[in-house]
Formats: sequence, C-alpha cells, structure tokens
Amino acid sequence: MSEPSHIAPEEDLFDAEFLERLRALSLRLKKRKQLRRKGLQSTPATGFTREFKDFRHYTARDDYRSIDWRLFARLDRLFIRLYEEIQEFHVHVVVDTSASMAEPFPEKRSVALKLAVALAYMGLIGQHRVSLYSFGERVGDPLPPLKGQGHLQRVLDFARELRFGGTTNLESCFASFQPSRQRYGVIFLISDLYGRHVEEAHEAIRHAVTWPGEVHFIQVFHPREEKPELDGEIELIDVETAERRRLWFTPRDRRRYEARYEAFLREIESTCQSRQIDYQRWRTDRAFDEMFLDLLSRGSALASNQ
Amino acid sequence: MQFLTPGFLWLGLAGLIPVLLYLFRRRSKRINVSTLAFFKTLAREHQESAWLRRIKKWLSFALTLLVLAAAVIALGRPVFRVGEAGQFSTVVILLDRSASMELRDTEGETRLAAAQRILTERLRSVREEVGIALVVYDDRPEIVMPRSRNRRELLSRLGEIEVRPIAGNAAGAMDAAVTLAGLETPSEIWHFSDQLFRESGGRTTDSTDGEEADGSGSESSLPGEIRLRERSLALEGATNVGLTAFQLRPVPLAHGQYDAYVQVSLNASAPSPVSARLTVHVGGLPSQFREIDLAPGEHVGLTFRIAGARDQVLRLAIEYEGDEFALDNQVMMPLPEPKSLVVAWIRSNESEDPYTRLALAAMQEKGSLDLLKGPPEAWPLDVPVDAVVLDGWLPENWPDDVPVIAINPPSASGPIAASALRSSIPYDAVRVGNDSHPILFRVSSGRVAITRTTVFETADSLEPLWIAGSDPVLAAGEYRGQRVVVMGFSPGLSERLPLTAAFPLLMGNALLWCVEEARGDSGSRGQYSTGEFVDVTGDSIRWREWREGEIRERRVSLRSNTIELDRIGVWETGGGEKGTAHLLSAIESDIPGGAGIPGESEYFESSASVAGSLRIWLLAVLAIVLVIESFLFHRLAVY
Repeated sequence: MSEPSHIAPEEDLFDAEFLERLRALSLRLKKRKQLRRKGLQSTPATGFTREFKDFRHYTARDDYRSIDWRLFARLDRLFIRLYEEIQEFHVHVVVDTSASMAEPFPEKRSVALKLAVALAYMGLIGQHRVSLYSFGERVGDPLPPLKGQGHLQRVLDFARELRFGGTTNLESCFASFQPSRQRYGVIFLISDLYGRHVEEAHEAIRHAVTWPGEVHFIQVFHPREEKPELDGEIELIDVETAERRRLWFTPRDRRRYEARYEAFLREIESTCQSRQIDYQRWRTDRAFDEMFLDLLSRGSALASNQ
Repeated sequence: MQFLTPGFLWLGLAGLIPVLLYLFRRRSKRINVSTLAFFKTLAREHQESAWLRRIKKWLSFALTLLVLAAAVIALGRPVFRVGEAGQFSTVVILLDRSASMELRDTEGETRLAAAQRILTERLRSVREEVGIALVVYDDRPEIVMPRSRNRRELLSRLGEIEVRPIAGNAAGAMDAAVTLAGLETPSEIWHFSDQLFRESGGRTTDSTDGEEADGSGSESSLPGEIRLRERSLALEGATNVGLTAFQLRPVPLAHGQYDAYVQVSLNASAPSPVSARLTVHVGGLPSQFREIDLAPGEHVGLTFRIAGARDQVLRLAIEYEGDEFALDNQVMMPLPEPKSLVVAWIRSNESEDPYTRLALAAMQEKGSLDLLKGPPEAWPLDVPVDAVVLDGWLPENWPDDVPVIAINPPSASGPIAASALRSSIPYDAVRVGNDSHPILFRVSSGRVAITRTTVFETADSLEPLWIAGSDPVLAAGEYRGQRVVVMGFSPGLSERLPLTAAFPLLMGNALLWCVEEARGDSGSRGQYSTGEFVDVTGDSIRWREWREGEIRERRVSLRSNTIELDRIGVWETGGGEKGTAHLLSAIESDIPGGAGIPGESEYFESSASVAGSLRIWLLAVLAIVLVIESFLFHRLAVY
C-alpha cells in the first residue's frame, strides 16, 4: 500500500489564475436568466418567521397560539396560520481520497480537488453553508460548515491538507455518510467509484437515496483507465491493496477490458438514473471549465440559487 | 557413440542464445493500476505463488535447452557402433548388376533391389566425412559416382541402377574398385554380388571368373589400408534351368537346312534334379520338343536339324515350372540367308581332277557356289573371291588375303612345304587327327582309302586331320589369320573310294570352314553376347524381344555408331546391320545358392538395426518435450 500523498507545494492547484477562472465561471452563471435568486430561500417546512404562508385546519397537536381567532369568529371553525420557515442552503462536497484517486494518475486527484474547491467557491459566493468531506476506508472529519467568501482560504487550506491513500470502502462510507436534516441541500460526491470489487459501487449507491438533498455523483477517471495501453507480460499492482497480478496482456484482453469498463460505467449511470441521482462522467483529459459549466447546467440547485 | 554428421554439433553454440536471453530476459513490467477489479475478470488471469512461477520459468528454460540439445544431437546423427572399427575415410561400393541379380526372392525382391536396400540402410550409419564411390559392373565396370560426400546424389544414383542382361566379370571391376579405394586410405570396399559365397573349407569363391581365392587371401592381396567387405546376396535353394550355349550353321550343300547346337544347364545349387522341356519354334510355329532330365550342375548338349526360310526367326525356349531365372530361357535368332560362295579354281586344264570338278559342280548346281575356273596364268585374280582352290599348283607369292584350299601342292609356298611324289602311294585307311573338326563333319573317315600324291609339311598352326603312314594327307588351320586347307592326295587316283561319296562333303566342309571366318557366313554370323559393342549405321535400331509370351518390337534411337548390346533379342539397324544378342553364360545361369560369408552379413545389417541409431529416440524425446511444453504453456497457461 502506498504512502498517503497530498499536494506538493510546487503543484499549487489553487493559484490566483484558478480563482480568477472561478469568478469568471460565476459571472457566466449569473447571466443565465434562471439563475437570479440568491441567499435565503423558503423550504417546504413551516417555521416561525413573520412571512404568512397559508392556513390549515387546527389539530390537537398544533400550537393553540397560532389559531386565527378572527376566522373562528367569522366561520366558526378553527384555523391556524402558517408562516414560512427560512433555512440556510447547505452545499456538501464529498471527495474520495483513496489511493486510486492519486495513483497512478495524479490527474484524478487534481481534478477532484479543483472541482471540490470550485463547488465550494460557488457555494460560498452564493451565501450558502459549505461543508467539505473526505472518504476512503471511512468518512473523514469534515470541514465545518462555512458561509461567506471570507472562508475561501479555509476551504483551500482544507483541500491542500487532504491526504490521498488507503483503500476504498464504498459500502461503509456511503452508509455512514448521513448529514442531518437541518443541513438539507446539495451533495456532490467526487470519486472514481472503484470499490473492492466491480459491483460494490452500484450496491453502495442505494445508500445515497437517503441522503438529505439533491445528490450529484461525479465519477472521475483517467483515459488510460478506460483504454489501458498495456501489452505483453505485465505485473499489475493495485495501488490501494498492493495486491499483484501477473498476466500476459493481449490485444484481445485489451478489448475485453475496455468492454468491461464501459459496462461498469453504464451500470453506475443506470443505477443513478433509477434512483434519481444526477451522474456525470468526468474524464481527466476534458477541459475543466466546460465540464464544470455542464455540471451546473444540468439543473443543479446550486446553480439555480445563484 | 559416434556422430555421423559431427559438423552439426557446432549448432550447439546456439544454446547460448536462450541462455543469454534468459540471463538478460526482459523482466515483466510492473505497472500500478487504480484497481485490479477489472483485470480479475479476464479469463487468463493467474493467481500463482511466486515460487511456482519461478519453478515454471526454470522449467521453461530447461525445456528450451533440452529441445535445442536434442535437435542438435539428432542433426549430428549419433549411432552406437557395434563391432566396427569404422575408422575409414573412403568406401567404394562395388555392386554387381549382371543378369543373375535379377533373381527374385519369395517376396519378389530382386537381388539388386536387396543390395540397394541394404546399402541405403547401411549408408545412413556412415559418417558424413567419409567419401563414397559407387562402381557397378556387369561385363565391365562403370564408375557411376567417383568419391564424393554427397549422400543424396549417391543414393539417387544407387536407386537408378538396374539389372542388365549381361554376364558379370568381377575381376576387372575389383581392379577399378581397388584403384579408387587407394586414392584416399584407409578405405573399405563393399562388394555386393550374388556370386559370393563361402564354402565349407573357408574359401570365398568368385565364380564370376571361376577363380577361387581364400577369403582372407583376397584381402591380403589388397594394400594394407584397404579392407574388403563382401556381402553375398545369393538365395538358398534357387533352381535355374537355362540355355548356356547355342550355335547355328547351315547344313553344307543343303539349302534351307540348318544344324543347331544348344546346351542346357541346371545350376549346381539346385536342390533336386529336374525335367525340363526344350521347345523349338521356327517362324512363330513350334517345330520340335525335347524332354531333358538334368541333375544339379549338369550340362546337356543337343543337336538337331532345322528347316526354314531365311529371315524366319528361330526361337528356342527351355521351360521348367520351378525355374526362378528367366533371362536365360530364350534364344532367338533369324535364320541366316544362304549366300553363294565365289570360289576360284586354279588348275591346269590338263590336270583337272574329275572328282574335284564333280564336287564343285554339285555345289554349283545347288546354287550355293559360283565357280570361277582358270589356269595358273590367270593368277593373280582381278576379281574378288571368297576362297581359292589351288589344284596342283602354288603361286610363288603366297596369297595372304584369301582362304586357300591346296590340293596336291607341287612345291613350297607360304605355310606349305610340299614336294610332289613321282609315283603315288595308295593307303587303305587314314588315321584321324581331330574327328570333331568341322571339315570332317559327317565325313566317314573310317572307311576312306586314298592315294597320296604329295608329301608336305605345314606350319605348326595347321592341324593334321588325316594321317596316312606317318605324314599328314589332310591338314587345316590358320596361318597368320588366313584359313588354309592342304590335301596331299588325289581324289581321282583314289579308286576304291568311299571317298567318291565323301569327297564332295569334305570339299564342301572345307570351303564353308574356310570362308566362315572371312564372310561370317556360318550360323554364328551376327550372333553376339549381350554387353558386346557393335559398329552400326543408321539412326535407329529395332529390337525384337520375347516378352510376356510374344515377340515385341521396340525401336530405339541411335546416338552413336557404336552401341552396346544391352538387351536379349534380335536387332536390326536402319543401316541394314542385323544380329542377335544372347546371354548364354554358364556363369550367370549357374545361380549360386551357398550361404553368405560369415560375419559380413552382420556387418552390413547390424549397423542399420542393432547399431541403434539414436535419432529416432532423440526425435521421440523432442516430440515429448514439445508436447509437455505445449501442455504447460497452453493448457496450464504457464507464462
């Protein structure tokens, strides 16, 4: 098993240029018509603000102080007044920090971190509460919810300090990741979704249904994971488990591998669709800006709250 | 163990290639992957422990070296040699292809084919650097291939050798073989023939030339570095009845009549006496039959008279059901055309002997004689004649280009030293010097009374045939290639003559005998033995051969004006020459049946079988190794 890795100083992913590009992306989102609302927004729940929302019949368990006595006088029936409950919108960004995200293709780690920071940035400038999580063998300690652009530096620091290594336990992590209902919002999960076996990913996805909010799966993979450039006698080493396999890799094997990998991606996509989870493939050789705008343009609540 | 082609052992250095490849082998590439999950789903993934993989690698390496070693050793052609020095640098194969090698065994294999088979097998166990020459012989040797190491060509030429219906002569061939063997020694001569066998006395008989030689003695006569190996191909208990001699001659003074002599023989090694049947065909029709009882080794001569027209084919066939050799069973010959003789009779008109005139006139009337008469003044003759009869006169210059019959020679000339008697001397009887001389054929010499008129002495080459008193009265013989007959008596003065009846016959015989050599007018004219060379003209030759119960014709183009008669039958060229070729060999017909030479048979056959060529085993090992390797690498998928 390889040593956990983190971003080296020389490969600063979040330089000024990247942040400028994030602001530009934010402006491009603002120009879209449907993206005008910002800040607090009502939720389906009722609360105790002064904004009247509706009436409904009184029941025994309701607070009698909310009975509208004027209506009782007119209609001789008990009604209570409902007021809108205004909640803060939460953005949860969950990053896979297993070894497979950093080796042998560090591009996956770069993309994952850039994407996490970009999503967090969008949340912060939208005055949402932003939380960052990491997971591998288990879900790591999250960055506490932050609000306001002033916390961008903390987000960046958190991202820089993330250690990539260890194994992946999708089943356990997805089951244990349960933000409270009070933190309802948008959940972005950034991972290659490689489990201990091929079927683990789509078995683990069923746990995501119970997550409080709109869930987006972003599957990051390298082109050579999709089409490996292997040939002849090779010894393969799993970067997470250090398990070794020796085999003679032929063009026929390569074709079978590619077919199997494509089937894996389709199975994930199909599983997500069936559970109303947004799913996007993110190949690391694609342009980041295009992919990011495409992600937010797919009807994400984060985008609609800008 | 020795290697027949040690040059290939250098290929063993190729074993360094797999060793180097193994030492500097490309290690398997180690590649980090994000997950093995997808690779595990491939069918050809392996979960072997490191030690097992290492063993398999060593096994693969060892198998490679084993395959290479087996291949190199197989190419080197290893053999175990049993009881053979084998340290010779030259082998001369001396192979008999004479007629008797046509003899077939119970499986139908000829002696020559058996020799070819044994040699082909034996040559496989001869080292590659040994030069091999191939000499075949029948009547004369032929060097088919000089000393060479080209085995493929040697085997090809060996396979092309065929039996020829020609009598064998091993002595001359052995000289050629010894010459070849002496070019590069040490060497061996491998003599393959059916005429070699060892008698109980431990001697090897080469019956081809009839000379006996001790087995070791024949080797001792060779140079010390040449060793003779002889392989007898004779069959035990073979029976052969064959024609071994034949002669045909026109009956003197009898038109269309021929006397034939034939000798029938049974080979000495035949297991039992036989009764054979001789059939005479003239013009395709059977004319005579004879039953002949023969004991092993016996020769029986038969004489019979044949009547036929010229150019009719006479065919004699000997038939015996158990006969195993067919080439000597037939004799074919066209009956010769009787040609009239041209004879000059030189005598003085006054002394013309009436009996002589009567005898010559009788032949003249039968159309067999053209008689020219003249006095001594007509000598020398200005026309060519077949013979000259000098009656009571001899020229001073002896004629050496024509046969001479001298009657009553009065003086000395040439081979004759004669003196005429003043008074003749009668004799009641004569002693016969050589009863079987052709001149005396059917002449009743025992009842003859003559009157001597001349006393003569002759050269030593003239043989006295009749002797009266102490001196010859009739002599005949050859003098410097010229046939001469001398008669010292006068038929006209021999009054009590049974000679009156015998003299024409005597005269006719004398004339025929005189001219048969010069004119070829006897029955042997155009009669050849197979293997003889004949000068011919024309562009083709037509053969008539007896095959499968009928006479078949075959035309062969002539490439030169000299041909070798290599068939049995009647031939005629486009230029008009004709003749007949016969085997007629007592040696070839005497099919041997003795045991082989002890030890020699094993020498040739053990090398092929007992010698134990490792090649087959190595090829088997090679095949097994390849199967194992294939099983490991394909079935068990060891990489």
